[in-house]
Amino acid sequence: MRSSLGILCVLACCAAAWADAAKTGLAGTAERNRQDLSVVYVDYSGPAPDAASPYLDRASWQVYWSSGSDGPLHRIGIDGVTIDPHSQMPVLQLRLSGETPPLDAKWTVLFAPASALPQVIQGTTPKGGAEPGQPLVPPQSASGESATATKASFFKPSSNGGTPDVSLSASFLAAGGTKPIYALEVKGTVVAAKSPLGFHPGLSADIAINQNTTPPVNKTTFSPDSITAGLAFKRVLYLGSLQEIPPSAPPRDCIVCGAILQMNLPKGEFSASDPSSNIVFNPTATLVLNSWQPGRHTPYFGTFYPFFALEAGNNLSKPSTVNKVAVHFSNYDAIVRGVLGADAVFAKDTPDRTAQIFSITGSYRVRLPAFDEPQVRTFHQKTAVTLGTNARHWFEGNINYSPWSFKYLALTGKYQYGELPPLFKQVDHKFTIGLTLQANQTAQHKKP
Amino acid sequence: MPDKPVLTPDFCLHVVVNSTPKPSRWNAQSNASTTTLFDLGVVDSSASQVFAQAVKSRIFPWHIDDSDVASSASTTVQAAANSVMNNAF
Repeated sequence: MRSSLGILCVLACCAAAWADAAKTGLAGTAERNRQDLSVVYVDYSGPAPDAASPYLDRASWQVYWSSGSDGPLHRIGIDGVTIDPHSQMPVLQLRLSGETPPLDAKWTVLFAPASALPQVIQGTTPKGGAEPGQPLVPPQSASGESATATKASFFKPSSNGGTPDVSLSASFLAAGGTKPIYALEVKGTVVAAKSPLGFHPGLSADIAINQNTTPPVNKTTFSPDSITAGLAFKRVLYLGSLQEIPPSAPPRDCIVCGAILQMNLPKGEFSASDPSSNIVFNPTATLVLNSWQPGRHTPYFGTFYPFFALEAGNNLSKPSTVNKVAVHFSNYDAIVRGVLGADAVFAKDTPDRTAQIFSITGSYRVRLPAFDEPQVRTFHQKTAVTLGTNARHWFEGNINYSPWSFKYLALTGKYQYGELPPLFKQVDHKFTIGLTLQANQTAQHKKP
Repeated sequence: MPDKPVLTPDFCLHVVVNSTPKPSRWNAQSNASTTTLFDLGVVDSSASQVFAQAVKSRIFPWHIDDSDVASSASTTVQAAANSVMNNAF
């Protein structure tokens, strides 16, 4: 009997909770129509209110405004409250009566139905004015800050896919008979938020340290294997159709949705282990194809982005020996390479889409030199150095696992094979396990 | 100069949905406050940047800074539409 009573209580609580969850409520945001200042939009949550609801009773609503924090307070009546039955946005439309407040006024909406406690909603002033194409100064808050500005950190966790804007991968080797070997790889592009002429200026870098060091070593050192760094200009293009889609027609998904263009101007290629350096101009284009998602609400996705680039420049310094082998690089001057490749990702996100739990990434590049360039290969501890125009391949695959609480850190297994400039020393099936510190630049991917 | 569109919540919603890679996944039963941009194909940082650019192109002759468009994958469609509504000028 007692247990039946308990079950009934639990069921009653669940029913009450369900009823609360199904109720209409206010989302806490209100904004004005900048072209018709007598209209205020108030966001709601839950099901649309019916005609008898206090949400659609104009007597439940009041709007107050003042021209500043010290200005006199004005009250405005409401002519009517409507909801568009065809709208998919949960928005109530309040039409103000009488004098409408100016665009830069501070204003507040008060919802005070007779049957419930009143709620106050701070109004948001739109950034622009009534005419498109005429930029206005963003509205100022009482503290002098932009009302629309949000204080965000420079970096945010690298969530949702693939290549982070900035990453630092580190691995550590410790064994008997050798000093520790630290291998580091820093990659990234950081760009300015502003974009004069449509291009975001920034810096790009790709630094590999101790990637080819093998035990035993009698001294822990940091020897850069490959450093590329330079000034970068980045532009994102939308390549989908801009044709107006009539509401009756089904919208079409894009195949090639956009392109990311980047000009590295100029970019230096350095190797500290051998005195070799190049300077190259490096325009790149990445095609952003539509992603693969097995279902609408599944956390899995896959991407495949083709990559094209040109590297043109000049050799600045030539080594006389490579791995104690005498070399003669007198014909090694001009550098022109075509670069083709692709980046692919398969990943699983957290349910709230704010972090990535697991991902497999692959990146392939083939460099096709137009003029002779060196190539260094080591077979059975013997080094062979050649000059030629044969294709130089590079593949890198990563498996990353990042638990939910690891926002910036991932456990990484990495596989590398191929050759990288400037000397194109062969990396032969190299596996690394380590940690990757990764982040995205907040200015490039804004969160609300 | 094209005709001046009226910046209403529905117009901003229309712009946001049609700027995503998979607008066909949006239908009459979709809920703007629970559907995320990830559900409509904005799955990674590259798609996020292209999405912001698409919004910018679609609301012309209005203007909006790329960085003012809420474009991360976890953003709801409603939050993205609100960011357009609040920041277009």
